[in-house]
Formats: sequence, C-alpha cells, structure tokens
Amino acid sequence: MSSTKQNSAVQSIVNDLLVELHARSGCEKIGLTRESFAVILCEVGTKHATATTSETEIRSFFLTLRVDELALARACAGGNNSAWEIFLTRYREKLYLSALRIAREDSAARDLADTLYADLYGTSTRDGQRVSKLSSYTGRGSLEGWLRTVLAQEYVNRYRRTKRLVSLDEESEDGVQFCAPDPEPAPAADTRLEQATDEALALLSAEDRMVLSAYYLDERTLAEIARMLGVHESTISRKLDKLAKALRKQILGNLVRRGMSRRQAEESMDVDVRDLQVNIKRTLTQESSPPAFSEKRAEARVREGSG
Amino acid sequence: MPNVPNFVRERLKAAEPTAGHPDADVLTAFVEQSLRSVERARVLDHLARCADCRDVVALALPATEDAGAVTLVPHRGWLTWPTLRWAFVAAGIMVIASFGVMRYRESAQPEQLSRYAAQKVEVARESRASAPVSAVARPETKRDKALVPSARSEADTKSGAAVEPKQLVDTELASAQPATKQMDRLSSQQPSANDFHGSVGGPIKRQISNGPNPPAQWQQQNAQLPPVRMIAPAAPPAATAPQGANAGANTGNLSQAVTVEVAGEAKPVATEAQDQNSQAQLQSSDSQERSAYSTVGKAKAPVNVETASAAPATDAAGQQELPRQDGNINGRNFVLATTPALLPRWTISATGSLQRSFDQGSTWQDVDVNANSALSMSSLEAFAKTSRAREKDSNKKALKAAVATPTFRVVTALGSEVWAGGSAGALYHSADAGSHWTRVFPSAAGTNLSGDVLSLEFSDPQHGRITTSTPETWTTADEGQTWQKQ
Repeated sequence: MSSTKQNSAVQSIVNDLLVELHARSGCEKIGLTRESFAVILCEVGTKHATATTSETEIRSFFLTLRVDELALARACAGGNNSAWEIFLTRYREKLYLSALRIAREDSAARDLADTLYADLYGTSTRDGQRVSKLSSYTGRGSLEGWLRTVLAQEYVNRYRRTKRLVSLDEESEDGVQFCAPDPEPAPAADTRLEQATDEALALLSAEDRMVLSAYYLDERTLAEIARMLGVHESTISRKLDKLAKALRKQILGNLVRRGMSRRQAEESMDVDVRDLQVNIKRTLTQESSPPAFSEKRAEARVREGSG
Repeated sequence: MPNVPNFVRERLKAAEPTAGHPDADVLTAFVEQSLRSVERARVLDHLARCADCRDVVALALPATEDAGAVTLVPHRGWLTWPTLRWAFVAAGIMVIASFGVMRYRESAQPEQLSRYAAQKVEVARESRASAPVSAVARPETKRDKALVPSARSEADTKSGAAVEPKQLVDTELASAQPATKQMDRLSSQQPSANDFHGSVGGPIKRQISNGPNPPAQWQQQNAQLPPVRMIAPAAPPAATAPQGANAGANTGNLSQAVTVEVAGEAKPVATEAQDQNSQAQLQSSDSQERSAYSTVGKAKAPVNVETASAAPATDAAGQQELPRQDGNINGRNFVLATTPALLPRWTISATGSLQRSFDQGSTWQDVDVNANSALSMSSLEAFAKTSRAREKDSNKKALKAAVATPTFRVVTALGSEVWAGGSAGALYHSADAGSHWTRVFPSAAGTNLSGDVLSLEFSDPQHGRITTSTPETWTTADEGQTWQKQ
C-alpha cells in the first residue's frame, strides 16, 4: 500500500504530465474528459508505486504507459458506446483468434472468447455500477497482450479445476499418498539430500529456477521457454547445460559438507529410491505405447479441453 | 539435454509461491519485456514456483507470426555470423569478378591502343598529305625536275584531297612525260623510291611507289579501287578521321599501297591522254574512295583494303610483277595488318644500334634500318640536289655514308610510329613498328640537318622536335614531311 505521501507525489506528477499524456491518449474521440483521465492516471500510479518508488521512477512509469489504450479500455468500462465501437473493431477478431490458439479447439475457443467478452463488457453489476474487467487494465502492457493474458488465465483456471480433480484420481490409483507435496520422512541421507538440493537451488537466480522448472517440470520445449523469456533458444540450451552441471556439483559439495563422504554423496545422488521408482516408470512409459499413466493424463486433457 | 536427478525435480516442485499471483497487466508486461528489472525478478521468482502462472505466460505468448509486436527473440542485427558469412561470400565473388574484368580490359587495351595508334598514323598521314598541298605548289617552281616524281607521287597520295592536288597533278602532267622518263630512270636505278622523306616541302608518302608509271599505276589503282571501296564499308564505321582531306589522304595511302602492289610493273608509260584520263579517273575514284574511307574504321580498314587490294591488284593488273623490293612491300602491307596487335619497345644499345623488344624488354633484337630501307640512291640524289651545288657532292657522300648503318643515339616511338636519330644527321622513321624504315632528311631553306641527333621529341605523330649537336633544333608539324629549323 502506498502512503499518502506517495499519493500526493503521484498526483503532482500526474498534473505535470497531464497535458502530454492527455494529448497522446486521444480521450476526446472516446468521450473521456481530461479530469476523468487524470483520476484514472492517479489510480494507476498509486497502484503501482510502492513506498520505495522514487519520483523519477514514477515519472518514467507514467511516460511508458500506453495511455491511449488505457483511455480506450476505461472508456469502454464506463460504457461509452463510441469507445466500444472502436474496441470491437480493433479487438474482437483478435480476441477470438487468441482464444482459438489457447484452447486449440473451436468450440472451446468460442466459449472462452464469449465468456471474456461478457466480462469485459460488464454484464455483471456491483452496487449499481457496471463491473468490467477492463477496469483492471492499467496500460502497462498492450491491450491486445492483456486480452491474451486474461484469456490464458481464464483457460488455466478452468484447466486447473479440472486438473486438480484428475490428479487426485490419478494419484489414488497409482497408490501414491494423497497429500503428497511434502516429502516423506526419509533416512538421514534423503534429508541431507533434500537440504543440499534446496540450498543449491536457492543459490540460483529466479530466472534459472524458472527455466529449470519450465523445462523439467512443465516439460516445455526450449523454444517455448526462450520465447517466454525473450531470449534465443540456444541461450536456454546453454543455460540448462550449465545449470545441470553446476547443480550436481553444488549438491555434491553440500552433501560432503553435511558429513557424507564423496562416494556416499555420489551414491545417494545417483541412487534414490523414489528416483528408481520414477525411473522405472519413466522407462516403462517410454518403451511401451500409452500406459495407464499417460492415458489418464491424455484423457484429462481432452476432458478439460471440451469443458 | 542433461537430466537433473529427480530429487531436484521434487525440490523444485516443492517450492511454493511466495506472494499472490501477478495480475494480468504485470504478466502481460513481463511477456512484452516492459518490466523493470526489480519487478521482473520478482515475477520470475513467482514463475519459478508457480506452474499455473507459467502456463498462463506460455499461453499468452503472441503467435509466432506476429512476433514483431512482442518480440521475444531479440533482433540480432546485421553483424551476426550467418549474415556476415554470406556477405563475405558475396564480397569474394565481387573481388574475383572485378579482377577478371580488369584483366580482360588490360588485355584488350593494348590491342585497342595499337589500333588507335595505327588510326592516328593514318590520320596523320592524311593530314600530312593535305597540309603541304600548298607547299607543294610553291616549291613547284623551284623544284628540279627530279622532284617532280616525288611531287607527283605526292599527288598520288593527296589526290582528291582538294582542288589543289588536282591542279598540281595537272601541272605535273605537263611534265608527265619527262617525269615519267625520269621515274623510269629512277626505277631502273633503284627499286624502291618509297618513303622518300624530307624533300624540300616535298611531302612524299612513304608508300610512294618506286617511280615507274604513276599514271599507269593510277589506272591500276582505279581498277582496284572499286573492290577496295566495297571492302571499306564492311569495316567498322568508327571514323574519326576528318572528312575530306584526310579521307582523301587515306585514300591516297591506300592507293599508295595499291600502287606498291603494282609498283614493280615495268609497264610502258601511258600517253598523256591516258594520263589525263587516269588522272580524271583517279580523281573521281578517289573521291569515291574518300567517301568510302570516311566511314572506314581505323586499323582494320587499311588492313582489309590492303590485303584486299593485293588480290584485285593481282587480278586486274595482270602482270603483277612485284617491285624488286618484293617481300618488303608486300611485307609492309601485311605488317600493317599485324602491327596494331604488337607494339615493341625500343632502345639504343651501348654500341649505338637500334633495338626493339616484343616481349616487354625480356629479349631485344637489333633492327637494321637499312634492311627495308626505302632509301634509294635516286632519292639520295634528289635530296642532294636540293642543296646548294657546292655542297652537293659532300652531302651526297655524307648521305651515302649514312646509308650504311648509322650509330643511333636516340629513339622515340608513338605506337607503331618510330623515330630514330643518330650520328651525322641520321634520322629514320618507321610507321610499322620498325619493319620498314625511311631515312628522313630534314631540310629547310636549302640547308640540311647535320650533326648528331641528340634528342627526339614527338608529342604526337605529327609534331616533332629534333635537337642536334651542331646545335640545331628542327621541328616538324606534319609527321616529318617538312621541317623547320629553329
């Protein structure tokens, strides 16, 4: 929460930059008054600014805002018809196409797009006021990108719900304990291994960890991860190589520091009961054609896709 | 890709999101790379722990087609290796191509140069022929009979150039008979009267025949001209030779050549009437030829004409007795054909002999200016007679002495035009890069060039300057036809 001091700072900066920002926003065409716009800017600014944000940062924040799209979105949220016309002309087609890309299936995409459109238009009301999702758009990213993100969030939420259900079923069938996120109390070696691993992971940067997670947990492709981070695919490839080697070395060192001998440490790293299990499973799934595990996963995907 | 141990995966999965999920705005800004570093790190940390948000980010990525708006792959710029690689290849190809073009041009250029030089020679000859037309008229009165042949020969060449030659010819016709007789004498004495240079104002073409029967020869020429004319237009039309006089002179040259072909003929002298006819014919045919040659290309035309004229000359004339200097004359024609392509370098050896090299100086061959010399005793005598009587004999002796291979001191060459000067006023000129030489006797106002030739400067084939040891300075503006003493 930003302090009052920050609020007044934001206010003054808004006043400073209002003329310029207003000129760029094209408010007149969409029926947004300058005063309303100023209010909007202040709200956005205060939402973003923290106690530690400097004035220069606030100023640069405002200057990099996409004020024209912000004005359009807020005018639409306010129910301005001319704004809506513009919005529909520009974004309706794109909305549907993005939904299609996300859902990968026509009916699901249409459903997704229509749901979002209703949310954007503000079919629901609260305290007599139209509640539009467009009010939460603050102009930090492009409106088109924001629409895509919202679609993706909606889609993931749906999938998440479905996924949760499926994964529970799966786990119960596989015999794994139901509430499994916490590791089982394991022999000392395991604990030490866990600790050593956590330590090693903690040393990595957020980006490194994100890459590791995306690659090993989500099993995303190098290209996808590269696009997410805005780097070249080869960068991700090199990073993963380096990380894997560094991680192994680091964990080994941590284990040794925890009292294991080197040989012991290597053994515990290479031979882990759970690893064996998972390895066998993995081997089995690779060799044979769709085993139960993957089948279930595939079924779940289809289910949630049509849902 | 390397695999991490599964316990690592487990630990990764176990990480819980620290704060709440970032809202759509922030995620969008993250995808579009517009977050500041601090905020971006925070989002990344959340993403490392939150699979759902990772899913959202992955799904919210723009389609690869319209990645321009949200470029996740940074622009590599022009200096990346793949682009540079092809740039290098292209540059290499261009370098090789330009080398090839340059080499081709270099090899083509000497040919062009020599061709151009030969053309210039032709032009020079033409202008030389036309220039002293008036000069011819003047000394006509002073000239001795002996000079008539030369004048007539000159008229041969210059015929058609202007009205004057015509007059000159007519004038000469009056003395045709005696002159003819004289020429007979000359021809009997000395085979070649060609290339008799340096008479007083007497521009004699080098290719002047040995003397016998100019009218008859002209008749021959006339007969031969049509074929020549036919050939000429076939030659490349790049005519830079000025029209009129030059063309006429060019014609004259060629008729000279033609004349040379039939030079050796010992045909009976035509009667005056015949002469007149032939003269008239010559005029008309020359004018025709002139027009033909006005379109003549440079080196090619003379070549074509000459070689062609050789044939018709043979046919038409019937008795194709080549002059006594047979090979030379013929050779000259053919040499002219080859000269454009092969211009030698010139030097004077330590012993004073003239040398030339056809391989840019690797090997040198001695050149004997007298081997193909057009100098004849008759011309010597003629020349001698220009001097004052009392000097006549001494000059004659000097000249005779000089007929022996002189000691050269200086040589200059402009394309295939070569001038060599040496001791005792020896001055030789070749128009065909040294295959045939003419002794030149600069003479003006009754005096001859004497002394050793110390320097030769020819800025172009027409204009030259000689410095001697006397010391004297002689200049010419008509390729050595006439000289002025400074």
